[in-house]
Amino acid sequence: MPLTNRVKELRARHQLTQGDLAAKVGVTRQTIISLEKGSYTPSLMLAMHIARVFEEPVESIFTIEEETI
Amino acid sequence: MKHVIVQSISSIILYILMAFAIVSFASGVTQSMIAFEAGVFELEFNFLPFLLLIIFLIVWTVYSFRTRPNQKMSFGQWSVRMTEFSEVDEREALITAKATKAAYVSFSISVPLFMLTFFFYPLFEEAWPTYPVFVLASTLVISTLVYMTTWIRAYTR
Repeated sequence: MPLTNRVKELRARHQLTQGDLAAKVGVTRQTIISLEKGSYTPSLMLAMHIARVFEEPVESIFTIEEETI
Repeated sequence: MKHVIVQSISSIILYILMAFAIVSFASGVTQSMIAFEAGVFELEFNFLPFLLLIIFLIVWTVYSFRTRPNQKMSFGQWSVRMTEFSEVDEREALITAKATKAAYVSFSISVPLFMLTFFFYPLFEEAWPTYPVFVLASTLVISTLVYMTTWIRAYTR
């Protein structure tokens, strides 16, 4: 089940660059790029750091895409 | 990514230079043993591979220490670590783990394959006495190449 996220949308809303967000949560810019592309699933710690930056609950930023039958 | 590429290629160059230095010394010792049996004591070997190895080691050490990811790390701490590893954040740590696993798998495949070639070693031992040195260097070069390519592929995904 893939994990989708609203990081790109929230980052734009908060007027943050990928580099800004990376510095705030203590990762590299490449990690934010991969996160936004959906090719990297973050750890719970990183997800919580991102949620804290955007002041939103983790589950509203990261959601598991349920498989449709 | 640049760090991993530079350090991996440097390691490969280092393994090759070390192999040639050892081969040069071993050839010199073999020649001197032949001369010793004839009653002459002399030791001659090509110093160029050693010189290249020393120059490369100095340049590589200075460059690697100055460009180390963690600038707070002392020379003592830095010198006992593998310089190919880059774990700046959790994603890089994950990629490094994946690349290390791939390198380990390549090692466990290449070593038995090279060991099989030793069945035939007595047949060409005289023609190529330093074959084991190149085999050892090759296994290290292969696993480093696998580590580097896996790291790059995972990083650019």
